[in-house]
Amino acid sequence: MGQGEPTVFVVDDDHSVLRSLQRLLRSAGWATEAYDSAEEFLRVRDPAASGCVILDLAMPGLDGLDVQERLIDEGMPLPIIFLTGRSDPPTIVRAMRAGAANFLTKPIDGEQLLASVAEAVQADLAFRRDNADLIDGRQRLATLTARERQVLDRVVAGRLNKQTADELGTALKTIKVHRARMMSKMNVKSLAQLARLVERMGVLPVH
Amino acid sequence: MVGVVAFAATLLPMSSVQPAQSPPSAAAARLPAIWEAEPWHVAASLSLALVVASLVTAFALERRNRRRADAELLGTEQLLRMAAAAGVGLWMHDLARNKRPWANDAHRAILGLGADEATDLPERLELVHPEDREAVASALGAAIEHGGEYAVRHRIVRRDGELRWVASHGRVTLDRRGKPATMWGVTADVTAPTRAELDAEVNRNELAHLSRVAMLGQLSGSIAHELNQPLTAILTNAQAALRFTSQPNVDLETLREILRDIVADDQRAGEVIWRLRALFERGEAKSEPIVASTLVRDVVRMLRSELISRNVSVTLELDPTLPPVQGDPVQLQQVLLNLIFNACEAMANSERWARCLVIRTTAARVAEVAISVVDGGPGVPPERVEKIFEPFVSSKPLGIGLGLVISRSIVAAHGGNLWCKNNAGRGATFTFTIPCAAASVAPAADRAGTAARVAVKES
Repeated sequence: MGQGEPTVFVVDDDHSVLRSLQRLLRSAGWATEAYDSAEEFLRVRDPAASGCVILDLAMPGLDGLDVQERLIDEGMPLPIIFLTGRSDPPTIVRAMRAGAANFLTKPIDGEQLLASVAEAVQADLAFRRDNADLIDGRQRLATLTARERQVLDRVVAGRLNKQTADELGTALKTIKVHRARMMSKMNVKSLAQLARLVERMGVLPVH
Repeated sequence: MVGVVAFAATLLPMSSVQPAQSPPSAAAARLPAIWEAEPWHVAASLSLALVVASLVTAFALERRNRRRADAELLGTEQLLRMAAAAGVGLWMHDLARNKRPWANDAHRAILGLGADEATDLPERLELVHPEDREAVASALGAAIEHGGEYAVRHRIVRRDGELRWVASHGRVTLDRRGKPATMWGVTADVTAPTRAELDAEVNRNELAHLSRVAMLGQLSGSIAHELNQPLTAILTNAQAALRFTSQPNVDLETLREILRDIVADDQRAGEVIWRLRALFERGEAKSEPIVASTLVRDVVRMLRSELISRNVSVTLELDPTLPPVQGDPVQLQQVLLNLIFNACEAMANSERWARCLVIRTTAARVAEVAISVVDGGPGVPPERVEKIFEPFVSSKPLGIGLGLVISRSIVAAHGGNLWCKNNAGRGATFTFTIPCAAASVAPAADRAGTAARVAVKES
């Protein structure tokens, strides 16, 4: 999962700009995916893909900052290179604080963009290497059913199986089955290992 | 005298018939004796008496008619004198008898003609300003062709080179065969009021231009962005092409695509500049057919990034079947820009979901198109719905309160209306109407044809 070639995602509502960016990236040998709206990008892209995003800040509907927020919420922050038409310091500050890789003003210099892309992709790969277990954990977490997730939250919170069964209004036997399935899906052998992983992932409990 | 003879002729038979129809009387009963004694004498006497009576009656009537005619003549003379004193020109042309046209001194004075100069049609058309000649010829031609009245206001260039505005109102009557019989009319020198009107128009155009330039200042960020997009694409495409060409096995098809895009983007940037220049230009208002939906699309395209940065979503409800309107494209763009700007301002504090702008074109009254701008703001307080069209009334902290005043005067100069109405739900709707282009109401070929026929008559 997510071990393929890094992809440069380009999101801009202007088709002509989108095409030109794709060509420039292709000339440097990058694999690219182009989207003309933020909504489309969030819906279609493979969340496990590595690489970076080139994102136009001002778009109708969801704008660049909205996309950045969503990616952070999803816990899979791809590095973002923002493109902007106008100099807007408060927005730039906000985007950089949220961890933007770079902020380029249109019309952009091709070489500068390519250098930023190379840097961002390197950073993403390094992040993925250093946090392989976390990324793996996240992906595993996403495969849990709602009930398994509830069980996980309660296990991590230190509840006994009996308490969990009472809270969720189900039989102890059923809870034991859910718990075993959850441990197996999360690929952990012990409660301590699960607790450590969850803590590092910073998962918020779901009620 | 002709009238008298005709009158007598109609009286005679009536008088001769009367005795036969009268019921028998006492006098008639005594008559047979004389009648039998001298029938010829009696007949002759009676006839003579009848003729004398008729003549006396006829003369009496003739005197009465003449007195009446004298009085009428006196009235006409007085009217003529008054017209001359008021500087109203009068003229008449008996086409049927081809007599020399008559005109009063005032008419000659208005046209700057001497006492013995001809005042009929070809000569008068020569005096008409070349730019107005076709319109005048066409109006005259239509009246001559079908009979009836015409009214034109046009410029003349007098022999002394002086330019004057003349209002001319004329009437043509046709004879039984449909040929023009007489033409007469009045003329007035309307140079002063027309100049005042034109000055007012110049002032309005000037003011409209100033407020347009002020509005462009607000728009500058948006315009810069609209230029930036194609420039970005051009630069990026060119840099990609440079990289491709330095690689082995140059992909010609990709290069061709790049060049095609560069050409298209350059044209796109050119259009932005062209539209901008049109808005910056000051000059006389034009009058040309404009398709309302094109007008709306152009303005929305111009405001695209402004709308995006304000998080305003736009819905266009355009009726493609509407006939074109007549007007100045730049001034109408200005009205629409102003209304959209106002709508955005009104929605600045609205929730993001409510920042919806609807621009709609519909058929208004006969031969009018309405353009509405519907916003999702708080609406206009009912007591201010009319007040907002007054000068120096602004709800914006930085507004000078002239936008709507100027918009309304532009729309009024186009013969339309601009008004505001609060929506049933939230927000307000500003609507303006513009009359349709004349060509879309009556076929243009008709008018051209009339003008051509007049030209033939003149030669």
